[in-house]
Amino acid sequence: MSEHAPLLEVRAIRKAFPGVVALTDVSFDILPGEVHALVGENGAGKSTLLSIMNGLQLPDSGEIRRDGQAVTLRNPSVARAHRIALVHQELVLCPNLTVAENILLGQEPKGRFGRTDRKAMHREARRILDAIHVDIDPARSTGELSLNEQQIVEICRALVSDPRVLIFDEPTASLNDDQVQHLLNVIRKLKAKGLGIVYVSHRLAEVFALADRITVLRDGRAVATLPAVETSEAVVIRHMVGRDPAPNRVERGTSGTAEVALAVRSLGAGKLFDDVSFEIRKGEILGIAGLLGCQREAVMRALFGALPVDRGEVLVGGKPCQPRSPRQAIARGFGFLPADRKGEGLVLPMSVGDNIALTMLWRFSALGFLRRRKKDGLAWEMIRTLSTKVASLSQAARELSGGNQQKLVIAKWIARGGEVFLIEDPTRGVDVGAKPQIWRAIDELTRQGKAVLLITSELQELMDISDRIIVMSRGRVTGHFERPEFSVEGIARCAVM
Amino acid sequence: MSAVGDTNAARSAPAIRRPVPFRAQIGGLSRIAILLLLVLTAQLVTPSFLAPANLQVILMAVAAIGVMAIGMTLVVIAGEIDLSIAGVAILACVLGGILIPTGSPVLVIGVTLLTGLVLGLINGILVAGLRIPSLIATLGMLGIARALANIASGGQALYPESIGPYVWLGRGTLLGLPVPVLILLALTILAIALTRFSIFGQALYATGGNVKAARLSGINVAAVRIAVFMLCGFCAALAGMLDSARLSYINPSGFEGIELSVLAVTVLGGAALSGGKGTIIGTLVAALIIGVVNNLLNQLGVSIYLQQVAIAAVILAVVLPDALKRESGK
Repeated sequence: MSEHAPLLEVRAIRKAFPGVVALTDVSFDILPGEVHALVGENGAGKSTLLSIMNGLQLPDSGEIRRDGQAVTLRNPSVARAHRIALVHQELVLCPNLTVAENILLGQEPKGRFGRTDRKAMHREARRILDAIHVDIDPARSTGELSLNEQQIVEICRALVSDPRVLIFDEPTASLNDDQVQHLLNVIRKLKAKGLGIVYVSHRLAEVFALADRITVLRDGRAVATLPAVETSEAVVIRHMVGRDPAPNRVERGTSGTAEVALAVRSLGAGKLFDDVSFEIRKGEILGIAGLLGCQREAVMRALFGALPVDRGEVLVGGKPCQPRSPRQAIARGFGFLPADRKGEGLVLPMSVGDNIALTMLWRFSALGFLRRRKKDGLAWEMIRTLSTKVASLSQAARELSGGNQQKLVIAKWIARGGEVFLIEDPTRGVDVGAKPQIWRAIDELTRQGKAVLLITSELQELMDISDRIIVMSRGRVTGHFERPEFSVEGIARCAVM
Repeated sequence: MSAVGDTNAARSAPAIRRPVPFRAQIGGLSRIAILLLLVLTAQLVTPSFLAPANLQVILMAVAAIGVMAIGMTLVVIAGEIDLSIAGVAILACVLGGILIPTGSPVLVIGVTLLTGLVLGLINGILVAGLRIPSLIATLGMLGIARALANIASGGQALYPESIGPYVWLGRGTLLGLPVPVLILLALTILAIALTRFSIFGQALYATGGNVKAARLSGINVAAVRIAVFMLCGFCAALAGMLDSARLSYINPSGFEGIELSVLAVTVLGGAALSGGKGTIIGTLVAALIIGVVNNLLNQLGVSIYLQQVAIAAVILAVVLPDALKRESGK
């Protein structure tokens, strides 16, 4: 591999924005048939480097070489002409169009009189899908596809211009474990075709599964470029955060008391799930493991009153409770921390302080008037407790990083209080450095005697923090594990039952 | 290694500064600047512009549309829209007007305002309860209310002159100021208290900003939506009454197309039709901007059609910087 000349090379790149130097003296290259991973915490300069390689921004100094020739990537279409393409992190597809229409959007083959040649379009889409051995019907509506299939359509869009360098910006951020495997296989096929691949991800496990080399960015500098086989996750994390990482495994302060906080008996909802039973004791974390479609998210939403239940019973602190709306669930002592922070967890245009207060407005009411000082006092307290980085209480939630937004969601529920917390994928899109803080905050909840029902997209995380794990498959509970019995194999076996 | 140690220290120190007050209002300030600039220009062009009599004319012209725009702003902040205000205003005034022969001001005024609230409640139930998009629900209400007003009045105008307090609402003065202007001021203060200083305001902005997150935080979003439609209906009926009282006649086919002017004022004031954004002050300033431009052009004898062009140009000119800022903000 090393005898090949690099496909793309950036040398001594510097880029500054008003008030902040985003990149200093960064060099980076991609060889043909190589996956070169780029890792770093949020704000390390990954996005800036990607946008320079993709022609969205010009560097202040330094040079870019494509096949040894110095080039100026003035804009993305120049980058495309140099056969460099980027696969976006967020899915930017039109759900109402077909797969073929999405793949060739803006580059439709033209027939006579400038009319779109639909046959040629389907042929072309089929050719691209076949090239990466994916079997998706180009005539299908994109909205019907699963998330990872949509991600693949997104990749196909980048492949239309027949690139030599393909840049992936966190392609797995919204996929679960088995979807990720599928995507990694597609990337391996592209690599086998001799493409140079830049891969950006927060998930180190998949970086190690895929990458040949790993470059770590920290504070705008490339602090290390390491061959993947000669390094380890711990070394990479140390480079990322600039210090020894906190241990992954959270020291749990408690593993639950004898008192049952939540009992669920034979709960069922339509065709979604049936006969779901479990108990959580006070101070305990119960994890639900399962593959996509196992409906564990639906169980959580049903408990929170956001999805109607038609069978079974729920007991909170021994008392029957059947919330029909989130309002009622909150009144019964439930708290819900959704995975989709931006869509469901926070009101992004509202300020940090206002977001924290949302779950308990009545507490700040004096004859309907808002007791601002009391509200701000509580918000500051929460922000300090969770060491959230905010510029001020009036800063909009939208401006915070992923980790700090997650802390904000936790803050609003800790402040609200309650007995049972339903927590969905709390570390999605969160920095390695911020993850232990989030786990500690959840651990702290259990120390106060709260019960936690937890879902994560990575099984290892679930095993690291849960006291017990139940496994679901196709809407039913298929397994139950106590901490000493935790094993990936055992849980996986129940998950496919 | 020491450099690493330093960054650690910086990391663990809480990165907390004091709150930046009123940061969110900068957008509103630029509108106030535009208003002042317009007033200054007007004074230079027509020296009598700042005379108390002329200022009173401007404020009177702005009163009714301002009252309606305050109601509309609440609805727009909640992420909805109310196209029925003209129909609500007319039907409320007609139903109140039918009671003029009773000679009771309490009945006439009370029924007018109550009708506004009830029609708003129906809008709210259609939207929050039956999940009909507000654009369609209130468009339906507009047609029905207009038709009912014509049926109830037999298409005939009604004359409220015999009801003294009713006429006073449109033509009276208090402390040297016209009553409609005082009502607009009072309503502005109440609406500011509601949006900025009450817990309802928090629930309102949350519902408009992200309805899913608001519902999952335990906010009763249906109640918020019903409340804003009721308040908007009330404002529409009140504005209808102010105008009917000023003109001393209730026109069962009046207020044609007023909803678009009111929406224009609301958007000019900085409210976003996508919800979660907007201020009462912004809406009031926007109403004054329109009032000043109209008054100036009237004094200069500009034709009504050119006036409409000028108003539209002002709206685009004020909204454009916001749009550009949003675009570059990405």
